[in-house]
Amino acid sequence: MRTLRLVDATLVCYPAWWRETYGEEIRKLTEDLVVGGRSEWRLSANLMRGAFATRLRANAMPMRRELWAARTRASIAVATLPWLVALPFVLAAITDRDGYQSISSATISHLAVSPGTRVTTDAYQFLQTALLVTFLAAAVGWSTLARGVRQSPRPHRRRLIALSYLPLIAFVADLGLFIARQTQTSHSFFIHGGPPVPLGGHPVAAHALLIALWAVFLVGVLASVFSVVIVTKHVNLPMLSLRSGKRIAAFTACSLTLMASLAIAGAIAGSYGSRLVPSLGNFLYGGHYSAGTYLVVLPEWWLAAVPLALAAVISLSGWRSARRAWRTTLWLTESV
Amino acid sequence: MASKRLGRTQDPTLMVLTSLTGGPKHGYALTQDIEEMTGIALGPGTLYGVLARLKEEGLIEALAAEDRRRPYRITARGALVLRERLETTAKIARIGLRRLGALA
Repeated sequence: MRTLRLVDATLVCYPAWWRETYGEEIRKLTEDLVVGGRSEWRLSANLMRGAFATRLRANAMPMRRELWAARTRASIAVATLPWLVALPFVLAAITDRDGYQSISSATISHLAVSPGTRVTTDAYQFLQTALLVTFLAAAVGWSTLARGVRQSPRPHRRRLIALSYLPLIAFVADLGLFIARQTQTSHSFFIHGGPPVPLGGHPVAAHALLIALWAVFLVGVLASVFSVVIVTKHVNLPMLSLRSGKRIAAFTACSLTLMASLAIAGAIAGSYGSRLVPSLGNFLYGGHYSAGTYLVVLPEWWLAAVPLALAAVISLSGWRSARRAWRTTLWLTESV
Repeated sequence: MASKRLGRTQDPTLMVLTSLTGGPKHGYALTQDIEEMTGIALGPGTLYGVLARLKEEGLIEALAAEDRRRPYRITARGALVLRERLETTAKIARIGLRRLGALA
């Protein structure tokens, strides 16, 4: 057998069922083609395209329940994980890293009459609300996955259960750091029309906690993606969990599409009007109205819009695949 | 340039089925035959994507493998589907050529 390292590395990209059926033949064909003068690089590129198409469309996948159930799980992961990956970008874009600014009521009245600012304000508020709702959906999705893992008969169940709790551990760690930071942050008082007056807190500690918060958050996101990928790959989830997962996938895909649209609308409107947006804090801390001063943020719209748009496209494709795979899995389960 | 553009729209499914009407062939024999027929060198990823789909649809069948080379044979249903497709293509070609002749 001829050594074709690149071809062998590319063949690994095909699904296992494909390699079982066609692996030997396709390896022999590439050997013959290389002997016949074809470039190994070009053949590998063609194989890579073929592997991608096979994984995407599942053409000719055997009608075996375990294969289609695995495809349903993988598709649900593809539909939901982009939200988690886009999350750091969105949070970085919509929170003001330099702290909230304050502007006088006269300026806010001037901003409010601009149509561009109205759009950015509405987009910002809806984006925050949608983000909160998707957090709740993610929590439901995680609990469905964790329950499914607990109910599955898979060997090494304890390790997989522990792995499935990684997202929760990361979330609790971040929440703890967030609360700790809030206790160390200076609270600003606004005197009518004047600059904010800081009161109490430890700015250095608050800054260190902010850095720790972001570090733990990013590590938590990566660990969560890893744990979901491993768990969905190895655990044969019950049908009820798969059905719930499919619904979460649909919700995530639609939410990401909505959030991407809002971020794009905000970015376009922001380029016409002022990029300053009154913060949700105005509604939470109504006292600022009476002081005649408003909190404003400066969202980095494109930092949110681009990852959200990419995430939405991937998520929609995952949802579409999950629907088809779920229907086939259900049909195969009922046939048995 | 124009022929190149048309070349990219050639259907590999049609090429594989047409090649198999000449008798059972394994992957390498198929790529060689198709290259002789059309001048297009199919890659292994493209070829096996088509073979898998045709096999799943029952248009071709796999025979026993020899030295890691598995020949494929067109089925009766595959021949029927190919005949219908070629007749449609031939009809389009005839009409197109006639109209081109009228233009000249």
